[in-house]
Amino acid sequence: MKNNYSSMAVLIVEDDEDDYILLKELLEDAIGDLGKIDWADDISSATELIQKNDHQMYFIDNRLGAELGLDLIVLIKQKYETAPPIIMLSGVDDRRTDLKAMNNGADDYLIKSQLSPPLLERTIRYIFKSKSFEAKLARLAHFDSLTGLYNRSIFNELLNKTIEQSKRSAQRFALVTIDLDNFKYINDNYGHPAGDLLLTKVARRLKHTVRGADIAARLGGDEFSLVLKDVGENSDFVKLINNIMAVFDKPVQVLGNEIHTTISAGIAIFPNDASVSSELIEHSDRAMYQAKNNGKNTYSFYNQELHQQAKFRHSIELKLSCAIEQDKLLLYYQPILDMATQQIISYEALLRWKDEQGDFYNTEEVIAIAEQGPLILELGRWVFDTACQQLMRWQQQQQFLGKIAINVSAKQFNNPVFTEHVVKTLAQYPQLTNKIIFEITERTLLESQPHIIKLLESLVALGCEFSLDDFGTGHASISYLRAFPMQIIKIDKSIVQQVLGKNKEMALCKAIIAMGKALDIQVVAEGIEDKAVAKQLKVLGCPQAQGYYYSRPKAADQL
Amino acid sequence: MKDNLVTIHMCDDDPDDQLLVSDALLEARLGNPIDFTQNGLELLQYLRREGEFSHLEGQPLPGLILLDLNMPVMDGREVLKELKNDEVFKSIPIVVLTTSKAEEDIAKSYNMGVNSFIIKPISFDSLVEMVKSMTNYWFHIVSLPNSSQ
Repeated sequence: MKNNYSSMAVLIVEDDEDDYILLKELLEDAIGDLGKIDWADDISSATELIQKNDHQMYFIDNRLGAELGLDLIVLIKQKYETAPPIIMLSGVDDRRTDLKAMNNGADDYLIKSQLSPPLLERTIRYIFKSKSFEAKLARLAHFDSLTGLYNRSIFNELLNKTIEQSKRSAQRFALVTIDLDNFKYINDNYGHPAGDLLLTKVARRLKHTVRGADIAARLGGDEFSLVLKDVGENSDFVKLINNIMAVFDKPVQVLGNEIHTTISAGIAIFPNDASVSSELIEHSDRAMYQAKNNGKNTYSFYNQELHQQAKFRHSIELKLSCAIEQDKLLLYYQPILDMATQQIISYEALLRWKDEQGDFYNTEEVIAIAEQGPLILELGRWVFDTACQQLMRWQQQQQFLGKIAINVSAKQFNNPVFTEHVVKTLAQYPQLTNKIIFEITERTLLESQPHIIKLLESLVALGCEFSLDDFGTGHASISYLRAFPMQIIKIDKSIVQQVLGKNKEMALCKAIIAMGKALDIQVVAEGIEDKAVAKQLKVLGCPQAQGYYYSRPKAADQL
Repeated sequence: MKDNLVTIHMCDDDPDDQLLVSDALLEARLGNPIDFTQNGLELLQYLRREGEFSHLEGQPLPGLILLDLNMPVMDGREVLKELKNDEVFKSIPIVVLTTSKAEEDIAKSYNMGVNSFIIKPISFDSLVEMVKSMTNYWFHIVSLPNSSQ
C-alpha cells in the first residue's frame, strides 16, 4: 500500500547539515517515502528553490547564519493564493519567535529537541486537514460550484484589474454578457437537474472557446460574462463573437435528451464604450437586451457603428451564400496579351455580383468578408468551376485555346479540400491540363508551411501555374518567390501607372522585368490604361500586359 | 512519483463530458494523462492498438477505464462483456460513469465484473471531488496487478 504523501515534494531550509539529515530520517520514519526532498542551507538558495519549484510542504529553521527563516514565510505566502503548509523549526523554545512565525503565516512551530516520528506524523496530518478546508473556503469564495467558472464577486474584481492593466498597456477588451434564450423552458420541461447540467456543460464550452488570458464567469442563473482581452481590429471582435455563437451550433446531451440551446449576447468595449466597470457592465447588459429584442439567438454591440458593421457583414454573408447556391454570381473576363505579338495568352476571370437594384457590389469588400469564414471555400469553388466551364466552352467552339487565370484566396489552401477538388476536375477534364493559372494576392498571406507548399507543388506537377498578383505592394513579395513555386508575377498597377517619369517606379519596373528573366518567371504589367504607358513598357521589354487600354473585363458573351 | 504516469482512459461519445472530466483532472491537480474513445468498438481497437491506434503499440495500457453505458455503434454493456472475457484486459479496473440510474443497469454491470458504478455528477465541483477520490482509491489505496505484463 502506498501512502498519501508518496508524490509530495518537500523543501527543508536548514543551515546545519546534521540537523537536515536528522529531520529527513525522522520524516521518512513518520510518513514513509516522499516524492522528493530538497535541501537549502541558506536564504538565497532557499529563495531560488521557493520561486522555482512547487513544493507541497516547507520546513524552515529560523536561525540561518546571520539571517532569519521568518522572512521566507512571507515569500511563500506571496507566491500562493492558498500556501502549502509551513512548519517553523527552532533550537530553542522562544514564545516571541513562535508568535511572529504564526503572524507571518506559519502553520506550526516545533522545537528540534522534541521532534519524534509520531509527533511529526500527527502534526502533518492535522495541518493537511485544515489546509484542505482552507482551500475549499478559498474556492467557494472565488468560484461558482456548479460550473467551476469564476463567480460574480471575483469577476467584478477581475474586471477592475483588467481595466487597470488595459489602461497601462493601452489595449482594448470586450465585455460580453450572455444569457441563454430558452433556459426557463428547459427547467420547466426537463427538470432542474437537467437545467443545472446544461449550465455546467455550456460553461465548459465557453471556457474552452475563450483564450487562456480571457475570463469566463457565471454571474448567476443562466447569465454568463466573458472578458475577451487584447483585441486589435473591430473585425476581430466580430470574429470572436461569431466563434462564441458557434459554440451553440451543436446540441447538448442532457440526461438522455438532446437539447438545442441558443444565446443572446451583448458586447461593450473598453475604452470606447466606457472606462469604468459599472458603466461597461450596464452597456453590455443593454446590448444583450437589444439582442433579445431582435429575436434572440443573436448578438448586439453597444457601439452602434460596430453593430451596423456586424449586421452588414452578416447580411452580405447570407446573401452571398444564397447567390452561390442560386448561381447568381457572374464572372467577367479580361485578356492578358503578349506585348510583342498582341496575341491573347490568357483571360483573367473576375468576380462580379449585382444587388437587387442591379448595381455591382464592391468585389474586394465581398471577398474580404467571405475570407473571414468558411464561405470563401464555397465561393472559391464556384469561381473555379465556372471559369473552367467557360474555358471548355471556348475550346469546343474553337473561340479561344489559351489559358484561364483564376483568382484564389490563400485561405483556400489552408486545408486540402480545394486542392483535392482541382485534382479531381483535372482528372475528369484532361483538356484543362496546362491551361489553368491560379492568381494569389499577398492580401491574405499564404503560410509557408511544408504541407501548404506541398499542396501548391502537387498542382504545379499537374500543369497548373501560380501567379503572384499585385507584386510590389505587399510585404512578402520576394520571400513569396523564394518559398512558393511561382511561374508568373504581375507588377501592380500603382507601379505600372507611374512608369512614364524618370523615377523610382520606372527603375522598379525595369528591375522586376530583369528579375523575371533571371528567374525564368513570366512578368505581366497590369493596369495599363493608355497608349503611352503601353509603349514605355514595351520599350522596357515587359513581356505581357493587361489593362483597360487593351480591354475592360467583359461578360463572356460580350467578348 | 511513479503513479503520475498512469493513463486514464475515458470511453464516452459526449464531447462535453470528455471536456468536463479532463478539466476536473486538471482542477484536482492530477497530472495523469487522459485519452478518449467514443464507443465500444473504438475502445477495443484502442486497447488492442489496432487501426488508428496502432501508433500506441508498445505503450502501457491505461490503469483505469471510465466507461459510459449509452453509446452508438457498440455500447458500454457490449464492450464490457468483451473486456471481462479477455485474458489481458480483464484486470484493468473499469468504472462505469453514466447518467443511467436504472437498477437493472447497475446490477448487470456489477455482475459483468465492473469495479464501480458511478452516476455522473451534475456540478463541476462534485465532479472534481469524484475524480479526486476515484484516483486516490485506484492509484493509492488499492494494489493493482502490474499492467506492463
